[in-house]
Amino acid sequence: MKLHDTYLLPDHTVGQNLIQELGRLYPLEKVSQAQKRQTAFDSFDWRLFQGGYFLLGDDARHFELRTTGTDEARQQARLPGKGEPQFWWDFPEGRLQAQLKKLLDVRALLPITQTQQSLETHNALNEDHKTVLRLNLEEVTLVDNGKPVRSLRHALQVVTLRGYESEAGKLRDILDRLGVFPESRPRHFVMAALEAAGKRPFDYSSKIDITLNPLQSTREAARIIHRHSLEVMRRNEAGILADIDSEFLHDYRVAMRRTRSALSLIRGVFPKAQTERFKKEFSQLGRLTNPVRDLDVYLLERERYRAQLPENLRPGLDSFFQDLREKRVAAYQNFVKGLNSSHYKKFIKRWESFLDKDESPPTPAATRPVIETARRTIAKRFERIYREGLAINDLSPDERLHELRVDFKKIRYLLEFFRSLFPARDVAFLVKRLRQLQNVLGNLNDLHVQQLTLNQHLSELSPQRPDAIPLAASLGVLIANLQKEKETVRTQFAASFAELCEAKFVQKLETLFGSKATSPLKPINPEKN
Amino acid sequence: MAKNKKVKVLSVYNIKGGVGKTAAAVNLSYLAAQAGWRTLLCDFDPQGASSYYLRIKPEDKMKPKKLLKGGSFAHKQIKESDYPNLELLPAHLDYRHFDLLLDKQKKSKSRLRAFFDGFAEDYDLIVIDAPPNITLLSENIFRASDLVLIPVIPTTLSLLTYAQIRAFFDQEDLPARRARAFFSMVEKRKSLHRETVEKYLQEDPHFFAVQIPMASVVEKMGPNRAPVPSYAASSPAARAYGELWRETAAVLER
Ligand SMILES: Nc1ncnc2c1ncn2[C@@H]1O[C@H](COP(=O)(O)OP(=O)(O)O)[C@@H](O)[C@H]1O
Ligand SMILES: [Mg+2]
Repeated sequence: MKLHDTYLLPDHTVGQNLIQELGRLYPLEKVSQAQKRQTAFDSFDWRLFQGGYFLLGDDARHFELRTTGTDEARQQARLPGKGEPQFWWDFPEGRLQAQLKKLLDVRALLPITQTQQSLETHNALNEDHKTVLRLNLEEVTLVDNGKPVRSLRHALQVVTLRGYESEAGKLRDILDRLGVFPESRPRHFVMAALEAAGKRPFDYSSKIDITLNPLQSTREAARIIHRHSLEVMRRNEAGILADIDSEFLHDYRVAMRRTRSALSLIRGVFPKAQTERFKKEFSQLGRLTNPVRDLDVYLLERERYRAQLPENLRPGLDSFFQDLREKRVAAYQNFVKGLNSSHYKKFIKRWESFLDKDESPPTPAATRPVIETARRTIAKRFERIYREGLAINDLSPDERLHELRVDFKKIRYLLEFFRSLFPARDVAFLVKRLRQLQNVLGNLNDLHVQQLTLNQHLSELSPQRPDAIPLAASLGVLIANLQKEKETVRTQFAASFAELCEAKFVQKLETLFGSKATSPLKPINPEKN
Repeated sequence: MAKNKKVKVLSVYNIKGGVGKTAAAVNLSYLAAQAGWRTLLCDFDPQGASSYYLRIKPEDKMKPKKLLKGGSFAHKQIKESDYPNLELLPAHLDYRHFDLLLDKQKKSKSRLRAFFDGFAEDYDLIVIDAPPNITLLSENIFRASDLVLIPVIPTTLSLLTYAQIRAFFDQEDLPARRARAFFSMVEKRKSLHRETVEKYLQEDPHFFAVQIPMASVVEKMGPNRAPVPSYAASSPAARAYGELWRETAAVLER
């Protein structure tokens, strides 16, 4: 909405002279001279940038969400209190908070650049002393570790006020005549600051982004896949150790599970003994992370639980969450000890050098072009899913659905590993259809796990505790609710699975991976029996 | 918090003049803008007090009929104030003819909401400084508003007018909760004021808890041509307007 032209200048003196020159032609009033420090924020995985924004806060605790493409301010708010904000809920209720909630979800904000801006504002006023035009003489300096390190730009901004366009036009004409021309594509100085600080937006994403060559050997492709996951794990270690938000550990675990899946799904590419050993070690590592993640999931659900309970039962829940937080501290410390141990460091080193240096004699499975392996492996997983899924009915125990969920996850991983080998639109279509069912199964699993944990908590509850009764009552309500939710989700399963049996989906699978993928769907020839 | 895709419309209304409508409309708009709401103040009172306070004059070429059609003509009438996030649709003498104009249109009672929806992209909040009198324009304003705020001076006569407005809402089947009131120009040292305020705050759930005191800083809006919180941020009156905005925002965000 706000229009402004930015004129880049070689230095401050040129700007001062220009203002003086303009002041002779146009009545200007110097209204303020201000200096402020700004910090730009985004999450580790650039969620604000993904949405086309970044957050800018200054030392007066004024925060605004700004657009990255153009140079515009959107939602803003002043933050009360002290200290840097971390999560969306640290902001006062309002539009900025709502938008941050949508963009960040559970991720924390991290500073991405620090700058210092000196601003000298001159207003042009009309006969009513109404501002009709603003001129900002600006100098921006990059700040590192609290110290100004280098000048990013000098600029003159001509800010047009809506309804007073002709005044700004006149001033622009004057500047034109003086031979000064505006920047054609205005950028916020934070972009320049990022560049100067050597930071690249989107340098981290939890998504797999690898390009394979269909004809390269399966072993070479497997190495690329593993190196990528290892890189994701390593990138998240610092965030886990600093305990910034729950998603560092989450991404770390996803990368680790991908590694385990790749080790067992892409068969025969590495020597058996070593493969088994690494698989075992990754499982151990996985077990070490489980308690923290399980508790994180709970703590993130706190508001949802609270909302389910009547007012009088909420204190019971609060003490439940207090217990969980204490458990989480212990679990986290235990995991961090593991992550800092020489055992872990050696293990990662070994894995890294194995990926770089393994020279074991190639087997047929290792030398086979990766496109063939991809087709075969994916077809086999789909065949299994159809076989298992068709056998499930209303009476099947939860466990069967959980096994199916694991199978779906494996397919998902395979499609991610081998995405670059198939037409992007086809993979997107499959992933989209699968996601629906995965969500259903995922929800069911979450409900199941939550039920187990609540039950366990209930059985461990000491009746001597002063808050034992309200705590037990609130847990009881939640357990009953979970059961009801689970029943709803199970009915959703049948509908979602039926969609995977539709002709369009089935045909796509057969074209991409061969007819074996869908063989359980074909009617069995009765004469053969 | 609001998922409002739709722009919220807040009008400040009373049949009576001189009750503090314009003061409330200008200060609330300013506070909303400060709180990050992109705000458009519509000065629909031909006398143009809101516009005057923001030092803005209308374009001479104003044509109410063209304005009501919305679109680029309407957008071109808007002027940016000296304050971030706050813009104004200035008053114009020709707004006197709004009534005749609306009368000739289809859906004459709800025409205005469509007009405001045309601004949904650019603003989070539209504040209307409504003209006094009960007319077709005021009825349009009621129908277009998410909240109608009625400043009431705690005197018998003022409360009579307030009762009239409530009766009108009732008679026209407008939701009663849409109209909320607050006490304006309250003089604590007058026992009549004190007693009336106390009684109504207890008995009428439509009243906000906040009271705007009678204060000379509010009168200074005239010579200063600026919203109260911009020149006397810590004065009791400015704080009362702050409280009024918080109560208003809470209703709008529901
Ligand atoms: N709270 C107040 N204290 C003192 N004077 C006030 C107060 N509110 C309004 N006024 C003054 O009273 C007069 C009428 O107020 P105004 O807001 O223009 O009312 P309306 O818009 O209802 O006609 C103005 O001169 C204004 O400065
Ligand atoms: Mg008025």
